[in-house]
Amino acid sequence: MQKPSVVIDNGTGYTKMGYAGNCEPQYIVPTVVASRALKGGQEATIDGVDDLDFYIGNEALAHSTTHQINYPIRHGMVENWDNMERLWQRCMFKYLRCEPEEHHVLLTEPPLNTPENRELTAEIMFETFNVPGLYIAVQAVLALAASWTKKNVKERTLTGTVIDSGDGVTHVIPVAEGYVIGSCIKHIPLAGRDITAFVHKLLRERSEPIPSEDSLEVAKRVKEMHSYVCPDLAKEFAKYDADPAKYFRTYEGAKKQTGAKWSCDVGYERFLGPEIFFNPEIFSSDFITPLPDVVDEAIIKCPIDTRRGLYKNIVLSGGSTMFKDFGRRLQRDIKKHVDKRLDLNIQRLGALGSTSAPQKIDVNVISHQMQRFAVWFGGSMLASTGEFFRVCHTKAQYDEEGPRIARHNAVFGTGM
Amino acid sequence: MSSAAVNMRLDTHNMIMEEALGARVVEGVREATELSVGDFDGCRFKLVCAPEALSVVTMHVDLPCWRELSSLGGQAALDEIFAGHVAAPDPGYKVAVRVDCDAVAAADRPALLAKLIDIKRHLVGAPFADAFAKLAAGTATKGPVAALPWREGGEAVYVMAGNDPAKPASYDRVAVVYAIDFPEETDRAMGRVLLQQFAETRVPGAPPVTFSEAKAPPLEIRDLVATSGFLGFGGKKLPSVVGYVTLTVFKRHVDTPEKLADRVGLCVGFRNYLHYHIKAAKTNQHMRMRRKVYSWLQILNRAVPKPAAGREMKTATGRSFFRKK
Repeated sequence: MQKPSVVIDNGTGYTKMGYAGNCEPQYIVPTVVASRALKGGQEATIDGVDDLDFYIGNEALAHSTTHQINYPIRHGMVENWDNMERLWQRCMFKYLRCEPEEHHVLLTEPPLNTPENRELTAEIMFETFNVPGLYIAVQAVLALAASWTKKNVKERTLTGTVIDSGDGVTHVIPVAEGYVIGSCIKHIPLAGRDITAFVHKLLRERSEPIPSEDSLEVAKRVKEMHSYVCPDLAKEFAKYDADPAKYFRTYEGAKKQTGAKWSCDVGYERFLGPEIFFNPEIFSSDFITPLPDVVDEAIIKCPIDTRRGLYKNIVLSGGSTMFKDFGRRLQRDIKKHVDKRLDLNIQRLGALGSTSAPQKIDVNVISHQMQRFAVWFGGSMLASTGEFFRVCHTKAQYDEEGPRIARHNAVFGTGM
Repeated sequence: MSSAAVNMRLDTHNMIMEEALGARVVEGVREATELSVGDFDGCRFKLVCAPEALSVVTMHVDLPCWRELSSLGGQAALDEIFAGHVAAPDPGYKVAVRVDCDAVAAADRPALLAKLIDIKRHLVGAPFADAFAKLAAGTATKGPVAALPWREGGEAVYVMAGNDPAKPASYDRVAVVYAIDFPEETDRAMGRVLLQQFAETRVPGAPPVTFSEAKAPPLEIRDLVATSGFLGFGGKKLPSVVGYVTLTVFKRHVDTPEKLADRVGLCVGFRNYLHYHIKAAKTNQHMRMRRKVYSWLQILNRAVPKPAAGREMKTATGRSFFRKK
């Protein structure tokens, strides 16, 4: 029987890893390696066990006093290959307990990763670990694949716009037929961390009785537990003021040191937190373009024959897109832009408009259960299909041709 | 204990199973799941908790060597250690254990969890545990060699009681012989060097280790190899192996139940331990290669040919001067 493939999604902050075919990654650990610093640039003494004297993930953070901490991935790209190799080694042997010779491996890469990086990855995977097969998938494409759980089988497509919002940055990535349209990617400097900061600020300004040492943690919990996206800011305020008892929540906690109980009210921040995506001016004065406008701009920059497909399939990925009604609001706002532009065009056509009016543009934002680990889940889904084993680069190919085979990874999955 | 020592060994149990089973058996989570993961030696686990009966969890285990193992004490160990929990495995799996979390007394749960997550060690370790228990009890006698082809590639392990050459009647030791092989040429070479060093290093109190080349199998199994060739998986003959490692275990190594359990775990994990170290050594080698390449590049970048004659240069203030060679 075929051994399950291994799916490792190395992100800047966290590494998600597990066996293909499961719904959730088995481990989510910080992408960090703690190793002994070399003294004065000298090579470490060779007594046989130095090569094992390092930690990864949470263990690494716990040993930050005795070891040197290094994040091998910066902005999604591998910067430190030594530590990356060590990280993979530990992931496979200590965490997943797989013999790399027996399992195919699916790794992920950010959009616009360089082919050289893929070659180096392939070198490590085939030379050190002797994996039988390797596939390097683009994260955005996996996020698209993850959304197939939502829809029926007929609609499986790898054309769509991925909105990926994690802790640091939000990306809008158009993908056509499984290929990222690199020149049209947009970044937004607002994401989970900023929402937390905003909620934090609101709670503090209202002088809620939160112990100061916990305040950031409380803000994060409030964001995760109580936040949602409202359809209209003014109406929502009116609703809260008319019936506070219905909408206000209380958050209860205990002081870390003394254990004394405390509680605070959670009010407008419930909908104001995620609102920074739609009205960024309430939080930041540098970046004031709302997310729906950015998505629209990104799609408009794309080749004209892909645009309908991109509007039709807007997929969410990452923890900061998990707010209730996020997708609905986004869809409504994008639709508003698109319809307005279309109506303008029909007006311009004048008399011709009645004979050759353009068709309405279909805007769909897809929310699904797997948004938090969409990339990993998409990888897990694709790597458990038979087609995956066909498109993988094999060890035999590597031995024949060398690392250049990994430069290109065939798109697959739509034909299932 | 230094961090290197902590990281030297691999656990005997699967951490994923520990977490998933622990949540259900000990912490009382009632959540449907179907989780399938792999493990060393071609082993696979599947944990199933059906939505109809949330308190019942079934763990299916696939061991490629189960057919041979079951007659070498595997079945007996399963029936004895997991009495009352044995269930029918799903197709594609060899063994299954089922636990009704609600039916287990709260006090017994941690012990049950420890037993469940170590199922692979208990089953694969059965031939070792059997031989060690006899040795500890002093009832070891000359018996047939327990030959277990335990990996799909065709590596085998042989366990037998041995005697003191001076006193042929007293069987005071157990010899564990591993036929070790690796699929890739570099790994084979590294494995051979590691094993040779492993045999040369004598640690006081540890079982003595010897390494034998593939063409000269240790005496204990020479007849067996001569008659049947290299013992392969499912009766398949192997073309060659890297070599044989013999661990000689004496009574003092296994005379308490704790020691015995620990030694069985080490014996079962020996090949994975070796594999882990080979990969770590390769990683280390690659790191040194990268460093070397980097330092050469630096030298190359600095190696700019000097002009043969002197040249005119300018100071920061704009005055010019002539630099002789």
